[in-house]
Amino acid sequence: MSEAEIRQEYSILDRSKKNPQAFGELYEKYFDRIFNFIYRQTDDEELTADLCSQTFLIALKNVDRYQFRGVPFSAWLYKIASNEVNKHYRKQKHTKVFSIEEVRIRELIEQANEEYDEEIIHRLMNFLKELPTEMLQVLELRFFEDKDFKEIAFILEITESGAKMRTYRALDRLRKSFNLRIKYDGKE
Amino acid sequence: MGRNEIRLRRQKISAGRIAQHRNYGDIMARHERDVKLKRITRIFIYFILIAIITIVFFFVRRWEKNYVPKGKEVTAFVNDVKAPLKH
Repeated sequence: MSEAEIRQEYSILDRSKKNPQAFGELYEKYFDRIFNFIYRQTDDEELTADLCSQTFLIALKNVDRYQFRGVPFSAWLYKIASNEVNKHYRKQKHTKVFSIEEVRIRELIEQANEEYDEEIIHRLMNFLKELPTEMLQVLELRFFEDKDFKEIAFILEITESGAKMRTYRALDRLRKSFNLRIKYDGKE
Repeated sequence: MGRNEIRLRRQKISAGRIAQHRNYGDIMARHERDVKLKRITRIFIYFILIAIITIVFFFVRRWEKNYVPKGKEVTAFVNDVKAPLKH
């Protein structure tokens, strides 16, 4: 995200403090991304719509308190959305769902120079089932939302090195389980 | 059973379908309702506080009116006692 874009978002946020209607611009810009992010963790369209509305409502309510912490405004929305999803699962006491898009999985497998077939998908699903939730959250933000470690750390309220460690550990497990040679941030 | 339930989505949810859930008007309406409710709650709390302070003030005034200081009672008693006769 360029500096000009960040500055533009800031001016919208400033206007939103006085006029909540101005926040609509950011709502339109980020609605789809936040919706997809929540949908991946619920696999329920109606529930996602509710949690998504709740996310933007909380953001609008607290726009006065928003402070720039070196990450784009969208990271704040992701953080609220993540908290809302966690709150939902705590209340319902359900097993957490991760619903991943086949298209994206295919892209990632092809990037790793592996052949995409039903068997690899089946193995991958079993592998992901056994991963701890914290690792899945980091992987989702890194590979499905293209967030950098600084943003991931902010969203999940962990340190940047913690975010990196979780990602590398998950990838190490993946390499071992699938005997892959994935190049990632210089690591092989 | 694993730690999480992992599902594979064959189809990506379409932009049109997501757009059906987009409704900023509803967010605004809910926000205005929340702001109103907050304002009413604040006014109610102020009202209760003022009522409590007024009640306490009147109680203190009433108590002050009926209060006879203990020191004065003693002084009056001491003044009433005749001085002992000198032999």
